[in-house]
Formats: sequence, C-alpha cells, structure tokens
Amino acid sequence: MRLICSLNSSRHAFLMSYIYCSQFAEPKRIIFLVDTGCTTTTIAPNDVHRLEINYDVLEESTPSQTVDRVVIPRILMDVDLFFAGRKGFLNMQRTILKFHLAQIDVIYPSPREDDEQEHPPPLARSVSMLGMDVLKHFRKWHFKNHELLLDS
Amino acid sequence: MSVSLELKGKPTPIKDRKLLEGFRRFARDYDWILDNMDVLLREYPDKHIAVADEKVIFANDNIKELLENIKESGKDDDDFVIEYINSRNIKLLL
Repeated sequence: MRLICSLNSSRHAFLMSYIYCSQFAEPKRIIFLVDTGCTTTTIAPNDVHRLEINYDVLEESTPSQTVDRVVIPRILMDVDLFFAGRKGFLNMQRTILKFHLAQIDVIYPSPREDDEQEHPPPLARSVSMLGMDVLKHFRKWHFKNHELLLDS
Repeated sequence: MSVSLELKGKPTPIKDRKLLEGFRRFARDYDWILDNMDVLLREYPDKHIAVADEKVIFANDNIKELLENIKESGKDDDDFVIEYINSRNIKLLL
C-alpha cells in the first residue's frame, strides 16, 4: 500500500487526511506534517480549535519532550485516520486507507497562544504531526518530483 | 461506510465514495495552494485563507473570524482547505 504526500517549497511532506472520533458526527479534514521525530500523532492547537475538540473532557497523556521544553498533551481515544492511497503492485488502484489508533495526543492553545494581539498569531504556526505510530507501517520512502511516496 | 477486514493498528483499505470524493477535492485544492503560493503570498500575506474549487473564497487575519465567516455563509469549514499564508520564511523546529 502507498501513501502520497505533498511537498512544500521547503520539501516538508504534508499528508491530507480525514479524522474521526466519538466527538465528531462524521470524519473531518486535517492536514498532517510527516514527522519522524514525533512518537505519537498529535493534533496541534489550531486544529483542536477548528475541529471543535472538547479538550476539557480529555485525560492527560504522557509528557512529551520538545526541543526546549516538556509539554503535557491530552489523549484523544479511539481515533480513525483516513488517507487517500494506492493498493496493489503493478497497477496500483486508488483506495482509502484507514488506521485505527487507540489514542493520539492533542495540544490545546494556551492563553498566551490564543492572544489575538500577537502578530502573526502563534495559532497560525501550529501544525498537526503524523507520528511514528502511523509512519512505522511504511518501510520504503522515496521522493519523486513534488511528492514523497510511502510504501508499506 | 463499508469496512473490510480490519487489522489492528495496521492500514486497512476501505471503500467509501463520499470520502474518496472528499479526498479528490481536498487534494486538488491543497495542491492548488502549493502551486500558487507565490501569488497567494502577494495577495494574502499573513492571512488565513479558505480555498474551495481552486479559488480563495474567504481570507482573514484571524482564524476565528475566518471560521465565523464560513459559518455565516451557511457552509461547513470542511468544504474548504484552510491555510495560513506566512510572509516570513519561518523554519520548523519540532
């Protein structure tokens, strides 16, 4: 099976996805940065806000080490992630790949991050990350033009 | 949504026409943003934009106001690809 990621001008790979959990009536769109430095797939503050995730009812997750500090995300349980992919060998066909994850992490905007007076607002800069809990299923990675192809 | 054999923790191919069509529009509009970033940087610097059918439908300095704009129009934010057009060359350090 294959996932096809889009590369931006800095050659960072992004993957379009739909996410579903018990808080949603139906799957919702989300874009992930492919991040091999991330253990657990994590929803960033601006997506927590946009997806209207009820953060208050979530339990604390294991602390996460970032570059300069430790953050304590919260746990979103029983999450389905859907990706547009390909299956087959010679003639690969379009398909949707579903991943069921027992849990992912979410990070909520702190009061400082929610400060609309800052310019540009830090919310704009947060990015949801697709972590190794999903990426470990893809053994072959190769770049082709403006895409990163992940093959299982 | 029809789901075939589900392997715990592993990717499972499923068939869902609505999702597949959603992905098609999602990919087209996201790739359009990436392909037209130079123009978007000139026209919408430091703004959040909502794109549908390869057009910028809404633009706002504030993400909350953009989401309100979408709601007020009677549409769902899932009908759009929402992106922040950053005029500064920000590096990622995650």
